[in-house]
Amino acid sequence: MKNIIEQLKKKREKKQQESKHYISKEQIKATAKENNRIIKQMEKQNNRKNVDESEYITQMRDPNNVVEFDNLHAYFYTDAGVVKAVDGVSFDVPKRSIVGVVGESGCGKSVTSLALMKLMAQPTGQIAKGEIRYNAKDGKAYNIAKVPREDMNKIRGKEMAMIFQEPMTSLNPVFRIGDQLDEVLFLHFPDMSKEEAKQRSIAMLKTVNIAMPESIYSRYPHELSGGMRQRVMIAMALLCDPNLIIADEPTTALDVTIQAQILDLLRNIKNDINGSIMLITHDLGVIAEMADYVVVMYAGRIIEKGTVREIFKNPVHPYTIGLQKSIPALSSGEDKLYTIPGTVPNPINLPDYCYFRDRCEKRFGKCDGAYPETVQISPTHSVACYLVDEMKAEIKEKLKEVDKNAKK
Amino acid sequence: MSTLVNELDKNILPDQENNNEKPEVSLADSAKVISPGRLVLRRFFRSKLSMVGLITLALMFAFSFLGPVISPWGEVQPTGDFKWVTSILPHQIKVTEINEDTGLEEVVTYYFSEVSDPYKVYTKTPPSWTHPLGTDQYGYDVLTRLMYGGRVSLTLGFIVIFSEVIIGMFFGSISGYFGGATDQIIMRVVDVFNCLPGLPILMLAAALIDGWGVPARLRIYYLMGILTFFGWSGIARLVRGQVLGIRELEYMTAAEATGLTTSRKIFKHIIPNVMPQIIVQATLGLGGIILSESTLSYLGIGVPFPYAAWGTMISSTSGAEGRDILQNYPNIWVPAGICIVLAVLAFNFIGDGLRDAFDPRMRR
Amino acid sequence: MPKNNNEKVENIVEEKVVKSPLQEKKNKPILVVENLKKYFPLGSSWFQKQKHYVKAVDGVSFTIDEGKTLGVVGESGCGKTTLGRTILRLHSITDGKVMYDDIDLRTISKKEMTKLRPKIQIIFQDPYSSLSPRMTIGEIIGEAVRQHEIVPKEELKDYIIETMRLCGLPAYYYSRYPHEFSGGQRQRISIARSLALKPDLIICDEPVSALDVSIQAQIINLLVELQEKMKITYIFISHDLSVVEYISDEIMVMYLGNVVEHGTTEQIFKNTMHPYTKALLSAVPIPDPDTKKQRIILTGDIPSPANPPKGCKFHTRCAQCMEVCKSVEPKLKEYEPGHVVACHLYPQD
Repeated sequence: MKNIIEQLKKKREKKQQESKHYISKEQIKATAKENNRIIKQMEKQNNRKNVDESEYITQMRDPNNVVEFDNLHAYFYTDAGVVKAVDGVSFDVPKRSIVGVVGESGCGKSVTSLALMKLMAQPTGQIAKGEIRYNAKDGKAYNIAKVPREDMNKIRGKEMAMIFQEPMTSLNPVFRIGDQLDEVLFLHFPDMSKEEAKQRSIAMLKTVNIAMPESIYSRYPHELSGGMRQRVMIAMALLCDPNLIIADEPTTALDVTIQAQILDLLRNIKNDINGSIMLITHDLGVIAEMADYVVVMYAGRIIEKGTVREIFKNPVHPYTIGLQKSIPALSSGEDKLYTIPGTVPNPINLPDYCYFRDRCEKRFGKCDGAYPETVQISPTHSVACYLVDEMKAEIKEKLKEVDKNAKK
Repeated sequence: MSTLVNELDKNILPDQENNNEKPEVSLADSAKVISPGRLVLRRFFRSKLSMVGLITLALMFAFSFLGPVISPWGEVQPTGDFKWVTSILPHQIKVTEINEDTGLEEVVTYYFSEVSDPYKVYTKTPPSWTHPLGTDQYGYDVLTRLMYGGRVSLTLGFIVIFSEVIIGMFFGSISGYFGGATDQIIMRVVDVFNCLPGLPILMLAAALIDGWGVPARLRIYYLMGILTFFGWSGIARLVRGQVLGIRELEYMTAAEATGLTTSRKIFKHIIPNVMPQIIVQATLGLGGIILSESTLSYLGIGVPFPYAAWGTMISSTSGAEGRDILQNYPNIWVPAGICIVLAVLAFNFIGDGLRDAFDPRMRR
Repeated sequence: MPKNNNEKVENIVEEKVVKSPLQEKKNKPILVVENLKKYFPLGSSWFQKQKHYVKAVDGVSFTIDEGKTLGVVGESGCGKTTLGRTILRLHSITDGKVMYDDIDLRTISKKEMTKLRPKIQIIFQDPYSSLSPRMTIGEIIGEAVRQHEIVPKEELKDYIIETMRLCGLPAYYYSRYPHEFSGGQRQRISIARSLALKPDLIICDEPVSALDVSIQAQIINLLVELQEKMKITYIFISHDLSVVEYISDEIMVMYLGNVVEHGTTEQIFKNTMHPYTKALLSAVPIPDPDTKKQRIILTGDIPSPANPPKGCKFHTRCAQCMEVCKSVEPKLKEYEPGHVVACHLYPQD
């Protein structure tokens, strides 16, 4: 009898040991309760109807921008805790430019774009703080974060369009390509006739370099290859002549040869539509070829941003440098690939110091302090890293030395 | 400025190398996660409907299994109001007598009545404090019989679904995993079972049992057997479909590539991964089985009188006093009906809740 | 972690080097594939007597020496994945020979194949679907080890933890479930599962395509490290030329089930011959905004393998297509030692 009890005890202890990394029931309950409160409040704001425009009309900081992200916080309120997917992100998308957002999966790059479209998974995903200012075609500036759901439908599609990663699943398999294209047109231009819509759809298919647009118009999605489908998706995005195209990993699922075709197409389109593209990808090669401005994200924050040349020719943040070094370059003849050790921190429990510290090979005493402030290096280039301060100090010292030498 | 920076970072580098101790647990593991089991439970308990189902079912179980312990009456114990009744039995006797007038023999019929010994006749009683739901025409306490009826329905439902799942899973996984001729044979058998019109077949089978003269107490086991026999095909089909899907997943290819035995592949890799769907299907199926059992009992071929079942209790509306009971004594048959509806609804709610809880897309 | 564990694995590694017969006969190739074909039948109906086939792999031959890496490149649909799985006999072999260690994998029985399985392993592309979601990491890695009795039962747990350590996984992951891990960690688990069986040959089917750049580098380094330590041979299937170049000794370029070019890495990159290889190379985006190179952008998509073009299968997309390409299929010919190409641009006789 005693034996049995002891055995049971041991078993229980073992179980507790094993379940140590799981959250206890009570904790989950507490977080869920708190989350429900917050979500309810935010959903109430979101679901309001007939809201006066003045509530979400703002002023662009610079009228030459299409979008301005200003201290955007986008959180997911999950039972395990609040996932700070985007945690204080600020950057601009200037008119007629391609802005590339790079980062590893889970860094918040996709969530940033979903927040802009207000397409975050409801009801857990919410914009907690900050502004997204959008410069519409009619000259008004909307604060997307405050636009209620009802009014957002007018902006989506007509003003900005999105291209997704999976061309296989983003088209509805039971409708013909043409019907799906026409539907978008009817949605935004209700007075358009059927014939007009067809004309426009076919013209758009031609724009994206589809060889026989008339025959593709009456095909079903499964009859097309991945590259073709991605072209159709791009055509769909272009239909309403959007101001801004958000391309979320548009070529990740495609072969290199097809990727080259699609990138070529996107570049031409940018010139045609006279709009901007926000290109989200983890592929630095794609970014280098396409983007004018680059935003590097890590664990929900921007760690470095600048023009494409600044980021690739003169990267400052150790993460940016590491990312670039870890790509196996063609014909480089290296012995061992450079790697950034470790993995991305868990977005639920982010540390109070620099998120990259534990993986950083250049860390030093100062890195134990609070999360580093963003420092401007040039008008377009900014970095959030203590190294910059250090460099500045060194520069000062050097200048002093120069002074001393001069005095001597 | 920026070129300067590039030059400088080379100088700063070497000083930091001694700082390279690794933290105990990496930042990726710094937050606790929700265990998979708890995740499912969370999602299940979040749905209000499934909670309603669960509570209803719990109450029902308590009612059926604890109720009879408390109840002062038994299942087949006449307790209602009764009167002593004597019945008059008319008799006639034919006697051969010699007619005194004619002197001929003739048959004479004598008429007389016999008064029987007084005996109890139970009457239907309306609800009262001693019999909250009254008594039926045999004087049995309706509430107590409702409890016993619940026992039959719930245990029968669980046993049947359990055996159905075992059989269905066995044939379904074999069929899906091996494919080819095995699949063809099993699935055609399943097709045949699906073609059979359920109720008539069940009635036929029940009538057959009647014919065999199976004792009343054992009939419930035969009933279970029949319901299982005609019910496993649905589960088999579901399991087969799931297995076909799982077989194509890469972890199955990996299992094949590591050279695992077939039984291990089926029992360790496939079955645990179809379990959620099976549990959902089984829960939803429970309601159906309770319905079938009730229907059969109603038709008088399920649980036989005097034993109680919800269906049998409703069938009291079709007997000799049926009309009277239907119109004037709803306390006898309505509660049984409500019990059936509640049980089936509860199982469906729970099934739906489970389906949502197991669905990874419902992540929150 | 107790110290003796470390020694144990070192011993295993040592033993392996001594025991392996291949180490002695150095030049003997570990895997010889001759004219391997895999056809998938296409909807054979009752009315159609003649069966149609998708020729996924249509006559592929190569050999790999022990401890080397063969890179297989091509677009999706070129048959590279099918090739890997056919070598493993996860698909039945239609025709040809797959000789592993003098055993013809095509002719041996299922039972013998099961016994051989630990020696040839595979790592998959999708780290999310390649691990059974309802098993702990320890179970996933240890399952096949236990079945093949690679280590005694008592040592199983230590062995698994040691393997996990080799693959850069901390021991406390032992009793966790796959859904708790990121793609890179899962890929490490996959590698550990294969590695625990002490394989000679691992077929890596796009093992890093689904991973982030920084994680990609970690996994590739891990693979290289393991190869050095344990003399494992790799067949590295990928569409990413830069990765293949980095890891491979030899590269084989496939197009619609055929090999179009095969040579050492240097030959393929320095002396690219086939127009398709050239196009593939030039399509790789370079992470440098200043190099704007002249691109050969292939027009159109890869044709359906069910209905491949006549003649040279590449002629529909080839910029240098000639008349002869449209009718005559080019033969593989060796143009420098170890460098074979199938193209009419080069003399065929």
